[in-house]
Amino acid sequence: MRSLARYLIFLGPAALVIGFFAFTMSVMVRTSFAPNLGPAIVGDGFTLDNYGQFLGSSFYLGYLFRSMWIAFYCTAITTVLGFMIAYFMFRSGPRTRLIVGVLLIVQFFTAYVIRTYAVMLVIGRTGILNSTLLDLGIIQQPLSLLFTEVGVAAGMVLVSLPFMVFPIFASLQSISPNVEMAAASLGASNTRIFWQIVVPLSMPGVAAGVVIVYLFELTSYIVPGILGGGYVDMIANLIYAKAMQSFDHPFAAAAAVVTLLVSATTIYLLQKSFRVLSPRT
Amino acid sequence: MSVKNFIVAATLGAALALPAVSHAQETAKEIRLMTWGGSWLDIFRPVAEKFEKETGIKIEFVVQSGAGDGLNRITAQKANPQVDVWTSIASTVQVATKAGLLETLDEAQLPNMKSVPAELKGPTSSAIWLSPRGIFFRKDLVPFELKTWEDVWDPRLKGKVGVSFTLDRGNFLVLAALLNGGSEKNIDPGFEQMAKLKDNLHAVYKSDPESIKLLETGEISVAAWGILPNVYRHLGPDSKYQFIMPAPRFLADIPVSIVKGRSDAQRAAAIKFVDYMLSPESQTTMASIAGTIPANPKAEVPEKLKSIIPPLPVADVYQMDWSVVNENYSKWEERWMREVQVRR
Repeated sequence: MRSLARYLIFLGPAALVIGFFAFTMSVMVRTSFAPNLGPAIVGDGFTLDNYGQFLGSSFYLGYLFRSMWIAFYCTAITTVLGFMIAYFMFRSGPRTRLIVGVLLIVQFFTAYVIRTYAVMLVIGRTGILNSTLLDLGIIQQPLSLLFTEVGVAAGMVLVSLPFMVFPIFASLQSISPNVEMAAASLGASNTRIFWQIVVPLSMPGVAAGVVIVYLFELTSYIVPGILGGGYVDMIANLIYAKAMQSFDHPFAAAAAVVTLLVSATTIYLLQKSFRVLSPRT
Repeated sequence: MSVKNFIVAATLGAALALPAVSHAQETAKEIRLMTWGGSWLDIFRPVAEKFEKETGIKIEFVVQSGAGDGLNRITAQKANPQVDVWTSIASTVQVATKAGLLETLDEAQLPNMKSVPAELKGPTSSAIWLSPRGIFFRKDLVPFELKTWEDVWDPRLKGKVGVSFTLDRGNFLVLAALLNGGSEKNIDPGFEQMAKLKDNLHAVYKSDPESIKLLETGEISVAAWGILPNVYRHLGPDSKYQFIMPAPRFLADIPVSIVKGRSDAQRAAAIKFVDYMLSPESQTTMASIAGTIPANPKAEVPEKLKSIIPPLPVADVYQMDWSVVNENYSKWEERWMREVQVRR
């Protein structure tokens, strides 16, 4: 009886959150099937036109595919860099771990928008990077990084790194030192220990990081909005433009539902893949 | 009652009571004004404070990121609006009126509205000021002093120009059409003109703060569609910014409306506040802070503004047909994304 009461203490807030989310999702799905009767006027009927308009247009689908591609390679870059940082922390002493950990966490003390503007100040025409390279004589003209896909990718990797580092670090920490010692005592080299023991055992953390970062980057709005300058708009920017500027809420809802389904499918496939890569315990 | 049942009941009760509690706190002693944030609030604050002193009715500010954001909010809140008074732009007021979101204004209840010229008011709104649009540029970053719209297309400005499609809902595209023999009713020349701007174009900004940020950091040297109130207080003989208002000229009338669906007490207080905003004294105050032309001709135009814009009444002001813009905006937006917002 007591354990049931304890269970219900958590059930109440959870039910509120899930219920609220389910309600908003149902409104969005319903709107996606509603006819658009004009700017900001949603009809009561049922139509597949909005889905037809999105899925039947190579232009609109291009936004989704481009977003998936950018998210894919940015996640790959973030995974490699994140693993390197996490492994460095894993092999370092407590003081170094603390310093690196604090450096990663401290960026959460500022808003996501501010962090993105900070990237703009680094890679902009008159930013720190260009100023330094010009002063050193390495370049004669400022590099065009801002308002390009390179700039957006750099921004996405930088702001999502902590979300990759910490899950991987947690996984690495869970590896018993006896495992590596046993492998070494049986003659395995450091390289072999790393690739055949450490990396496979860190897969749960890598999987968690990849899922978080991929979803974060696929649905990113602020980074492409600020660092893209209108030239690297992703799917979230399109949905926002359609909903908030064209006031075509049914179309925006349809695009959002399709994006949601694609994201869910991608995550499912990623998780299946990581299950194969992780060693059975 | 068992502990389990008590907790479940309390949770459900709190969830159901919350809207009722918040509704009970809304009285005619306070109304909500939805308007733009940041420095825009500084324009309304003195008027709101004076209004509260004189009437006891408090003004609570609700910030919108743009007129489109405001429209989306009152659309979403249609069944239970949370805002009483709304400032926006002409195009979004048209959309909101057609969607049945705004109260009809009665001049018998708004005596100051009678002074506002007929072309600046409609059934559901009255302009509170006219906001000059033009070109901002950094005097220290441009190779020559811009004087006309055509100067934006000058090859000497390669990679230095920023434009916007979303600010004023396609107004810059219409301007481009006008320069090429078209208009909002014939927009193809506008896209042809934008194709000629490709080499100069470096950024497409979506908000006025973004345009200022890009100018400040030197990322662009020219913001080809600028809203004067954004830099008004920074303009002066020693300023690095300059604002010009070449022909064809654009004066955006900024309307105020009352949102439909509030209680009678809220509506009565909102009517009082809107009338107060249209009084000569309030109009003079707002114009002096914003750098705008008052909608009420009995108010004073700021002397500083007279030194920046052409002599009043401003000649060659283009009258946009916003119904055509609203009808075609979505199509123009898609075409803009395909043809303008792509790198060569």
